[in-house]
Amino acid sequence: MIKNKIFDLILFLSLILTTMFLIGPIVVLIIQGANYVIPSLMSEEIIFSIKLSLKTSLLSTLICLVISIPASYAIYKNDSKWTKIIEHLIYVPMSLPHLVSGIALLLFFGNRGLGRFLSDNFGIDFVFTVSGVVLAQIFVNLSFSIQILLNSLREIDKKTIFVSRTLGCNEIQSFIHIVIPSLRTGILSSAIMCWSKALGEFGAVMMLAGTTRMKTEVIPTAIYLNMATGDLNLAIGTATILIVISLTCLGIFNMIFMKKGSN
Amino acid sequence: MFEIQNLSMELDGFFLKDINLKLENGEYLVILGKSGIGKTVLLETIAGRHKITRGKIIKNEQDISACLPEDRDIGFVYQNYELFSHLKVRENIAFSLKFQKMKKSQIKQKTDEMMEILDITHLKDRYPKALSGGEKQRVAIGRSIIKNPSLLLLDEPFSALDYITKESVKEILKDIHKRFKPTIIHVTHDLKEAIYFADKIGIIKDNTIVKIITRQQIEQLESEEQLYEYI
Repeated sequence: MIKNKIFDLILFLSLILTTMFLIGPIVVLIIQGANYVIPSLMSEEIIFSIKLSLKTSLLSTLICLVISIPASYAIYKNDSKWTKIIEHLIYVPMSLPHLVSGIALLLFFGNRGLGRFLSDNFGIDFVFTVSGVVLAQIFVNLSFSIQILLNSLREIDKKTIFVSRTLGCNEIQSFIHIVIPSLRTGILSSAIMCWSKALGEFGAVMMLAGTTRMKTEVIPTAIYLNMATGDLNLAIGTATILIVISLTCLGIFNMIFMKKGSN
Repeated sequence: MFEIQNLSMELDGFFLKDINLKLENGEYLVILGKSGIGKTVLLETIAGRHKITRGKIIKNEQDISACLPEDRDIGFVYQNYELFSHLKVRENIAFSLKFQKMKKSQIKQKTDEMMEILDITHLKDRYPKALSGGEKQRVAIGRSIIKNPSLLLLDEPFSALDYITKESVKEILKDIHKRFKPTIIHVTHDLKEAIYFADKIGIIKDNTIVKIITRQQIEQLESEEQLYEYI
């Protein structure tokens, strides 16, 4: 009896400590940063970084979904050894530090690699540009997005898709009428994850797109630049804005998510 | 007429060999065999899920062996129903009609009629997760029969149902067969179920159909248990 109570107490304490560890620093940041939010919002530079962050994160999330939905479905459909190898290769970027991902992107899309070909033939340049910000965000998020969607797809019984074929659907109609609606929760989860990670992405963005003020300056870049130049108050204020944007949007997503779930 | 000639197939190490079957239109064949012997794989092969390595599947004098599942005019009911969880009961039942370029009013009328026959009109706005096993099975049967397929494949349709529900769904299936007269291939390991429905019983054993027993032969059996000798 006493042993059970002690065990329950240990569980409770570990939960409290974990919560304090995870939430404590954020609460302190919000409390200290609240005073600097308004001055930060007065800064033209911070407004630029917020707009650029929202624009690039939404665009990269959309592109991630457009790529990851068919890619994950291709893996789900094929059970071959080769598909399994490809799946493991696709997950490699998940284990890389983002700075390393950024260097890899810089080499691949820079002036010596594929980037030169794209620049010469199509006028697309990723190095030190806004396109580079979007590309870096896609690179660090795409593997996660595919993994989330694949987990959701694997919950769909392939027999269900086959039944739809016997009911007159061709493969594309099955995909549109059965797979996509069944994947709604996975798509939403993937979108939330991609968007929130893209909003806070710094390492890969910095390596590929640089940290040019008012050009490739997303919110994390603005925080870094203000910290580096000693403007701590502006950095704290900007960090608080980032947290507020994330929490607000996650709250909205969750409300939609819960509503869909209850349906 | 539906016919299978020397069908062989292989799937991940499992195989079926030299399957032969012949059914007149509207006939009810029950394939009886132990669990895990390949009954479901045989049905799925007929419906076009797995490729055959040899032989022919002929429906109304047309070789459908190479046809896509959507072009075979075959209905399929799985033992665990495989309803579309994001669609309501009426949408599940009407699903195949959407791809037949039918007017909305016609779709509604046919769906309402089918729900009436299956006694599930009161469930029309429910999602599958809010249905019992018997209700789900009725929806699955309605969904597959509404497009009036010439061949209906039933994969152990009662194995997940309790006794009372099973008896009521059995009555419904009998009624459906009487009304729409599809050719049916129904696989099961339940002897009583086979005797109840079958015009013919096919015994599946050692990766092939080893014997076909006609209704007349079934009625001449001294006891049901005699069938076990074949299995």
